Amino acid sequence: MKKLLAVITCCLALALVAAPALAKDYPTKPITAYIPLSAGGTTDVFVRTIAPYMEKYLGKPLILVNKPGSGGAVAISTLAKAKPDGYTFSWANLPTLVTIPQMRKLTYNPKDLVYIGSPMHYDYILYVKKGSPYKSLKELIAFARKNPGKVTYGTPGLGTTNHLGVAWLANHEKVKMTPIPFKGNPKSVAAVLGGHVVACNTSTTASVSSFKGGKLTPLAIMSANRIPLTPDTKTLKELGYNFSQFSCLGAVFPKGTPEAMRAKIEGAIKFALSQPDVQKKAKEELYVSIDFLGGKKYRELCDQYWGIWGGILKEVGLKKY
Amino acid sequence: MGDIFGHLWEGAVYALSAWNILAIIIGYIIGIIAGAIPGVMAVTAMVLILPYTFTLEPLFAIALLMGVYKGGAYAGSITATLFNIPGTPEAAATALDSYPMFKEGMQKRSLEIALWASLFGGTVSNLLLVFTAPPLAEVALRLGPPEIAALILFSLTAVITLLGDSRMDIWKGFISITMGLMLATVGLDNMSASRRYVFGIEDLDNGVPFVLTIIALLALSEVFIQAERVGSFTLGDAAGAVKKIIPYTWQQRWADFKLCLKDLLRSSFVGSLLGALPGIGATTAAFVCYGEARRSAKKNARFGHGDPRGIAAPEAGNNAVAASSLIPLVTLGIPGSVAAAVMYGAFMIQGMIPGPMLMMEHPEIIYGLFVLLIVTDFLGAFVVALPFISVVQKIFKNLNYSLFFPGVVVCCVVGVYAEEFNVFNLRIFLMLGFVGYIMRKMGMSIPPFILAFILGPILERNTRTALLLSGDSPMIFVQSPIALGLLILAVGALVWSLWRKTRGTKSALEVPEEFKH
Repeated sequence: MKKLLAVITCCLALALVAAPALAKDYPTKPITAYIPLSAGGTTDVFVRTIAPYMEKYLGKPLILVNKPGSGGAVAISTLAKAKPDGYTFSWANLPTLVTIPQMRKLTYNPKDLVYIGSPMHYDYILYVKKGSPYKSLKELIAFARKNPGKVTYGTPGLGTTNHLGVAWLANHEKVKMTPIPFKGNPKSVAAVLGGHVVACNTSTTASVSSFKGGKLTPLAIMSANRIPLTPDTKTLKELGYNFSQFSCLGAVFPKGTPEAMRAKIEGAIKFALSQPDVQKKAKEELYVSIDFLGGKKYRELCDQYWGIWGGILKEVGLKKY
Repeated sequence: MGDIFGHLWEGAVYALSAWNILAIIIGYIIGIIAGAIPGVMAVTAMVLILPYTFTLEPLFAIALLMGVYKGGAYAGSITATLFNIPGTPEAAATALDSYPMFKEGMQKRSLEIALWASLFGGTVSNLLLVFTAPPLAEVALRLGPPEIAALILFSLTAVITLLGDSRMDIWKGFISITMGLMLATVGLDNMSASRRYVFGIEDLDNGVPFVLTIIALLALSEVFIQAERVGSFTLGDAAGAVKKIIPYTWQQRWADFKLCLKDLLRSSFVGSLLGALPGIGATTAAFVCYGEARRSAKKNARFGHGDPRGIAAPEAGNNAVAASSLIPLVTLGIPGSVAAAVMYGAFMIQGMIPGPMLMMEHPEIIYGLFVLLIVTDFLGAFVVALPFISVVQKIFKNLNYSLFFPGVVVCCVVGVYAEEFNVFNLRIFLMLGFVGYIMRKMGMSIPPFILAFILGPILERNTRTALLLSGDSPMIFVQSPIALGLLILAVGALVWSLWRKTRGTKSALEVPEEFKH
């Protein structure tokens, strides 16, 4: 009996010693990372750009798996079911964690997840077609005031931050504008070019080509800072609105993943972002803004925007949960 | 115009290196294998290859993907001909005539017609891409939601030609269409994101995946049907039925070419136009071209029993989509199809954003791409596809069916899984396979189901968008002359086809035997 007790004690002691040792050696095998979008988009290319540097930092390969669908919910619900052993994490865009859970019932609770950190945020521009009668945001809003509902704007989907950003603006100005959801940013830009909608609020990348080709006029930057593509276009804040459209890419672990592992991946992201060629590619080819947020700050921002976007969702009648 | 030739020359000098030609050939081989394996789509292969292009030279990567794309666009017809199992959805229309022709022992003829028609359609569309991309893109942009909705409605009427003649068959066809439209509504409604027919299953939020459905209905259900027969025929019988290969002489080739020329031309242009419009795709183009060929044919045509035009029209049409779906990409920077989106990604990985600016700043890259496209079709057809089909024919002669059909099932399962890496999809896949089997057993034809399943969501989306734009006024559909014209055509086509069907008991428009089972 004594012997047995000794063995158990030894085992327990070993287990206790082994657990931190595991975390210290982490990672000892390749780590799987889900990408919530299909291959070849801005997010995908960005993740694949930083992945080699993260691998260098971690000393083990990252296995990148594209799991597109349902606004990212497919990837996150798979992740939520994964073992919290530090070997599976997922990239996630802000809406997957903030707006989509308020719009429909999901199998995961985003607040349970472990927030690793965020490497970048997206920039958004409100465009009209070149040669349109509206030369500024003010003129567009003045027209909308006189003609309720006549200003149509393209978005990449109902309830996307692109939709909610303009909805906030319309609400704030007490005018009626009509959101028209398209399947993704490129189609919403195409609808402006074809003259089917008056304006569109799109992520930068989707508009680079048409803007440089002289087919679009930017009216305002919807996100917080001015961007290199359209240096003279003012942000909403500069135009006197106390609001900016915010969405970022981040990484999350399933519930219960140890802090040491979270910190390690956070460090890997930070390391990758400090590389000059990552910064160059993000700025010159992908048109996204590198903006590192640690896990705590990332979580705080998500919580803050839960309220902000949630409020707008309620106003446009999309908040269900 | 001279400008274009100058750019083409520059592009050729820039693009036609030995490496890039090798890339095309490798790509075409991958594409033809992926396309020929039922269940594995060329686009799936492209998506799987894409991440590996990160470290490749820009044009090598793009040539490789281009080869896969073109190879896949053609290869679906091979298994469609030999087993009545289309390797890709766009070959489903081809099977309607190529399989009956094969059963008469003319497998060489049907495989070759598919190949030459693919080459013809591909080349016409390549040339249209090179010479008329900007105006065509302009036309495509002008077509807004109401026009697209009307166009889709018109395309749906092509379904009528696929229905049988008896009153019973027409009813069954309409049930099949309704089922296709209903299945397409499953999942998050793509306008307001409300859940439809998901029964609380989150995995269904994405809807029933497109590729999966088509493989289940076309390939898996066919395997079930064949499995029934495996018990009854011995190996000798199976081989005996097809071993008498009738040779295909040059006179016949010339006669077939003359017979098909009108359909080849029409299909190439129709396919190119449909390809330039975002979101319509090769499968629709193939069915519409098939339908048009059948509608315009004389009553004594052998459609459904191995008419060469029934192979040439859909093959030229679906291959014409390949190049023209790049038109919005290179002229506007807007990917119009899944494959174009993959190409967009490939450019982006290489640090370039396709669109008007790339055309102005680096014409050698865009024109290099065009040259590669033109070369790919010829190189692929003569260097890869011709030897490939002769090898396939040899393998086929000694094929053991009891091993082949399980093999098809394995490929389908792998293909379906590789699409989204989701096990749940395999369950839907099996279920739909049985649905397809039951439909075939009941004499309901599958192609109307598929066409409705593909076109339903596009029709819904564009109709609803048009109504949003007009503030719920249906007048938007008649105010646009193009939309109005297409609507009149759609109604006219419907009335005319039905009238033609009901007139006389025996007409050429019959359901192909193999769909009656």
